[in-house]
Amino acid sequence: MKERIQLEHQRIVPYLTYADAPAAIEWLCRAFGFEELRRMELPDGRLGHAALSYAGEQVMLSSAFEEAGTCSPLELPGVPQQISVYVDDVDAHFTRAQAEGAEILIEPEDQFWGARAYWTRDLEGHRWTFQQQLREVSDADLAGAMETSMSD
Amino acid sequence: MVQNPPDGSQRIVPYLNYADPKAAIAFLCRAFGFEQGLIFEAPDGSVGHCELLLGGETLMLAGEFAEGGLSSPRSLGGVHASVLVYVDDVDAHYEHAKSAGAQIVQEPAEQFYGDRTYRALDPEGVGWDFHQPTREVTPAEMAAAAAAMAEEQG
Repeated sequence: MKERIQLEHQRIVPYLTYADAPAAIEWLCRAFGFEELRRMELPDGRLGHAALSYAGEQVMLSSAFEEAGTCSPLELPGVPQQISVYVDDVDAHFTRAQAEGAEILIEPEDQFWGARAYWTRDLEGHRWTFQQQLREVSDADLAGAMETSMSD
Repeated sequence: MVQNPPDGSQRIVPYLNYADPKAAIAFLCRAFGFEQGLIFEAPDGSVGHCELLLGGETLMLAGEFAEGGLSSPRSLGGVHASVLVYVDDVDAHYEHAKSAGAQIVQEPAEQFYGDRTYRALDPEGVGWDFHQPTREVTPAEMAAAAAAMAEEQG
């Protein structure tokens, strides 16, 4: 049995596509508090790969490669994937993101699942939810609250 | 002390939208090895939220909500995001996914950065990359390999 190589991040990693990946990296670090770990630049200026970290976990991204069928949300009428991030102080995170020009979809509010959350769109239209778990909610309470919220 | 993120969840969680979330859940469990956790169904049978578990981490999904801008990739013209998952045995994972009907975009291959990877599309067109780190690559080796690739591309 070969020795397992230790991952430096979580197992399940969102991988995002941007039309202008260098601008996206700069923006995600400034507005959302990510740190750039690495980027692989191609001769034409596009990024083949980049990794950003947040509290020991990562998101990865690259430039859009039309030939591979990847594109920025700028070119789509909707998105099929959102990124949810647990932060330690969601209100401070919101204040910073808003000051840096993030488009706020829903302001921070306490949610029935026990978290305080806000919804935002980044510079190219990727959707992000930032949340902070504030209280424990049992599965039974959750199911009841979900039913109420879905029948509204 | 409240757990933030909650137990069983990493901090950064992809949240996917599917036209037919129940079929997606069945496929992701059967083909990719997820286990279904919490699920909320509305009386009309639509899925408001579902959590899938893998190796102590969580992936979330729900039905489409087109009026809110959340659509299945099937109804869009391209892919703006995919999900990358580190598995323990990528070849076994590939064989299993393929036999379960996953559309294989790229067969398992060793990559210069030390991972063995394959890429698949699920039935609604979400892109999935499965990786297994197979060898340690130093930053210098990585830079040299990346430069060689860029050279090839340029």
